[in-house]
Amino acid sequence: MKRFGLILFLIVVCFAACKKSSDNGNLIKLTPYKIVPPAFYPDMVIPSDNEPCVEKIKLGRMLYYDPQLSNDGRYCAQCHLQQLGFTQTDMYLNVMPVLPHVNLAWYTNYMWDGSQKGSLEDLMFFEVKDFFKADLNKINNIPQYKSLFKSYFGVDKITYKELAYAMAQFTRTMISKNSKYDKYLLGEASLTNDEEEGRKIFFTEKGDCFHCHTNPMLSDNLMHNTGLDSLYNKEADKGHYNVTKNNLDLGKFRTANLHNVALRSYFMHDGRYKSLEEVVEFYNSGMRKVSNLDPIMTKPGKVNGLKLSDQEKYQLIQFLKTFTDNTYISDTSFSAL
Amino acid sequence: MKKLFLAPIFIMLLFSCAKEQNELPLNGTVRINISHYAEYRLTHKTLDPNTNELIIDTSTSLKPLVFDTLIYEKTLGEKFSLYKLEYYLSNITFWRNDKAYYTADTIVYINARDINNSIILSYIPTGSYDKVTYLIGIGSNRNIHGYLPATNDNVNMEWPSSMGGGYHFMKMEGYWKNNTTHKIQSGFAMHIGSNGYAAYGEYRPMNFKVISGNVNVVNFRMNVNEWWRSPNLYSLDINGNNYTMGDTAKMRQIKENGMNAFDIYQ
Repeated sequence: MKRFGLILFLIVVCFAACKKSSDNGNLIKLTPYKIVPPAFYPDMVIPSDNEPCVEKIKLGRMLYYDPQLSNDGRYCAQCHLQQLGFTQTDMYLNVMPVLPHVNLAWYTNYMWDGSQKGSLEDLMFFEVKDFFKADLNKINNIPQYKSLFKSYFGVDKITYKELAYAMAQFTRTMISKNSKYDKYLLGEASLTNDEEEGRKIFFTEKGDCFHCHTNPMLSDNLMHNTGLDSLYNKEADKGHYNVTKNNLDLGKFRTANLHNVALRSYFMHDGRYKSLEEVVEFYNSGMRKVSNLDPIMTKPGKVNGLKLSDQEKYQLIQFLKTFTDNTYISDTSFSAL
Repeated sequence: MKKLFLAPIFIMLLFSCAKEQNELPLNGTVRINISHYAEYRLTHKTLDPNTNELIIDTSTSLKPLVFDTLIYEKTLGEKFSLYKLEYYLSNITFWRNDKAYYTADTIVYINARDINNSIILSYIPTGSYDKVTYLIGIGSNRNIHGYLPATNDNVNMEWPSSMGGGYHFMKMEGYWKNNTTHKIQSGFAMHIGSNGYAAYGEYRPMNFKVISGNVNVVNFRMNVNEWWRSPNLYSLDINGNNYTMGDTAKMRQIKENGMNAFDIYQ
């Protein structure tokens, strides 16, 4: 009799628990999604309260391509075009190149001047609230979003947080991992002679690119002054100083991620260079000597530039072109739904 | 009779078991607190009451490291600031009677910008130790590309395969200025890496006891100035000395100086 009572009690408890779950936000069972970066990439840090799942990634993807995200028709994919590695050919507001959306999952500093920090969720919170100024009333009155956020996040009222979390889910999956260089690292491709010579220049003291464009992420995600300017006439040229107001941060910018760099039309924070040839020439002979020039760039014999020959410059550029990932720019899982 | 014959064996077994039980090593926890300091020159100005002359006196004081401030001063009078100080600590070994008794398996990445750097070593056999040794860097057998977990920190510390592979053992970067030669402020990058360039250090305590149930604390205090002091007085104001990577002679000098980098106390 006692045993029967215990079983009955357990059944009632289980039933009550299930019912409670069902009442609590119409949550559907979400499908866990495993993000698989290449084995040689650093471990990805994912917040425990935003574990990837198929449904939320899809929702973030919808938002990424949805002009309803703002009240003036702006949305992520408007400037971040997939065929260009999620950047675009024009400068944003004719002021700065659009930073590519690639491998953001490993970043903790964002924007040219490092003005945003934290997780992808933090960045996306800034994007929806401050950049796009998403109209929550409008979003909450879109039946599809209302229903999806209710099902996936269990909320009756969508806030910036849920918008940011959904967008972080999608952007975290945007991983470029099939470039020729990636395949080379996996032993699945070989470089031409010029590319290999360029790789040596990149990864030795000759070019010394690797200290900031670290392998394999191709950016250390930190702020550096690379001697672009000796006078900071424009506010934007002051870089990280605009964030910290510390003179040592004058002219410092976040290391650009070089994945798909050959697809870009503008380089540096103000788009002053229009080709990889111009960029390499700047490092070869155009750097300004400023007091807070990155210590790495004060190497003896290199303070006036890398002094590469024409052939070496060509080889370095050939190597930079191996960072182009044709899969990334055509992968339909990143395209509009 | 047969049973009597077995009795001594049984007694021996009993004693051997008891002995083994007494010798079961107990373990303790050691916490290594790591802090970073640099030398700051203080100038004292006083007025001589008899002659009314201004007397300028200087003294050196060790101050907790504050990054990005050009206030610290080397032995040779060069002022410096630090922008980056990252390194690995490994091969932490506890010695007893000149024998390596226990070597911790860990290789720990230290970023001096983090204020609360500490290492917890568990399962250290209890008892007294008369020496603790360590490496600033990574031993040759583990300084291999991909050996460490692929965290952002470890990946950013990789030493290019074209230059031998493995990891940077230390990156110390900043700016320096020599007020007497009036050179403009310039950068320095003291990078060491490659097998054979890890800095070895040792600490000989009078009696360092690891007690079970206690967190036994050892303090590692780095004086940044030591990297440039002894046995190799290292001037940044010599052409080329501001950059070490790939220059084995300079890396060797820095590595040798690194043996004094930590002041260790309980």
